[in-house]
Amino acid sequence: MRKALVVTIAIFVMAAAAMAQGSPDVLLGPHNTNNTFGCQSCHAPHSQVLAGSGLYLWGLSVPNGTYKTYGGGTVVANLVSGTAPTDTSEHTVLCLSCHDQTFNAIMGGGQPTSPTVNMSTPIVNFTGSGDGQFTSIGGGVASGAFDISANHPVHVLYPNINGTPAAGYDAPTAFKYWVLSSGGGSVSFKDTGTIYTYGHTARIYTDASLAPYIECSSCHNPHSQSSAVVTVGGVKKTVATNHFIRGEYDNTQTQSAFCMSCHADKAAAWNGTGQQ
Amino acid sequence: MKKAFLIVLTILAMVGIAAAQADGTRVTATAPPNTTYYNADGKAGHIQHGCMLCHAPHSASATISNAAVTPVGPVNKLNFDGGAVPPGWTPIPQPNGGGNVAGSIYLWGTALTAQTYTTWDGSNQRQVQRGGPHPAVHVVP
Repeated sequence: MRKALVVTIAIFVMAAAAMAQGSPDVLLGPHNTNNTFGCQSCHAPHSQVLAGSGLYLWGLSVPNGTYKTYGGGTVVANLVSGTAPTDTSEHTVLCLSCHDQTFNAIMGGGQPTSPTVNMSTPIVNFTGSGDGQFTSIGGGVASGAFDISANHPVHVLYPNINGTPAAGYDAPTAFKYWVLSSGGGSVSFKDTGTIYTYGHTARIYTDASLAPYIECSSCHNPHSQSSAVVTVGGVKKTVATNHFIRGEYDNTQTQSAFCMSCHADKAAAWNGTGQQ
Repeated sequence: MKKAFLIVLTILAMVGIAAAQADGTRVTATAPPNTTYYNADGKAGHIQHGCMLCHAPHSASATISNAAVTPVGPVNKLNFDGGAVPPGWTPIPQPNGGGNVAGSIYLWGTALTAQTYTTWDGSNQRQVQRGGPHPAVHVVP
């Protein structure tokens, strides 16, 4: 009897250990290419593909062209020179190394031999990991390559800056967004921590003139798949998320709250101006 | 001796299972429910479902559906009333391999129907299959 009990418990021990070891990479998720390459899925610490500096030791090919974006805008991918752009486009263009299917045929199946490739060697035979799917936001849907217009706008100015419409926006449109404060060398939302339980966790990128832009990584943090460290009302905490979203995003309510943290007019708290 | 061994094994098992759960389970949400955002559109449920009920921020794969329209309520000006649908949720048609929706239509992420509808006075019809922006998109999705 005791022997059987010992055997049973031992099996539980081994099963528990196996469960712990077999858990997916909850940090990088599918960005840990094939559950193998870790940081080198994207970065090359000693052999940056792009010449120059300031491009995050990027280890993947990058597209070179002008992408159509939602609403008729464009984002110019011009990182091949190895020179970091003077604007904020790199925070979108680097994502397209993988997420533009028309640039890299990464959904073809098979396994890559290395995630680090040079400019003339596109990634091939890549399946990703995690859920086994690799999200291509690339073109081919509407009018071919260099078209990401079926996606949320990127490389666009945040509309409401200090209560003044950004270039290209009229007042009624700009005031549908929470006001962004600009000054003193930085930009930020005026988060009171009371109205916005979930905070304004999207990241706004600024160019040299402090013009605030929305890029891919405004909403996504490629380094954390299912949890996000946020500061709401001055309190830093870890919250559950999905899809590498930068804020709490684990049910329909928090999903909506994240969208509304910019899209003010969809929230009941909107006062018509975006002022908080 | 055997008893001590059993206790040790049991503790190891418990610790192992706890570690596995902690590693494989997502972080628990810390923010409390917020009624400010609940029913935020005043339309009794659309945003309650979440923005993604209708929108897809990466909507390249949204398709136009040939599925039949699902009744949405006892009174409907689009003449596809089929009675209330308890308990109040509105089923949405699923993509069925139809053509792609142009992503510039409000990043629409659910299927569109490919039907012709009679409007409330019976005098107007619209062919609603759309692959691009058109005023009818404010009616038919």
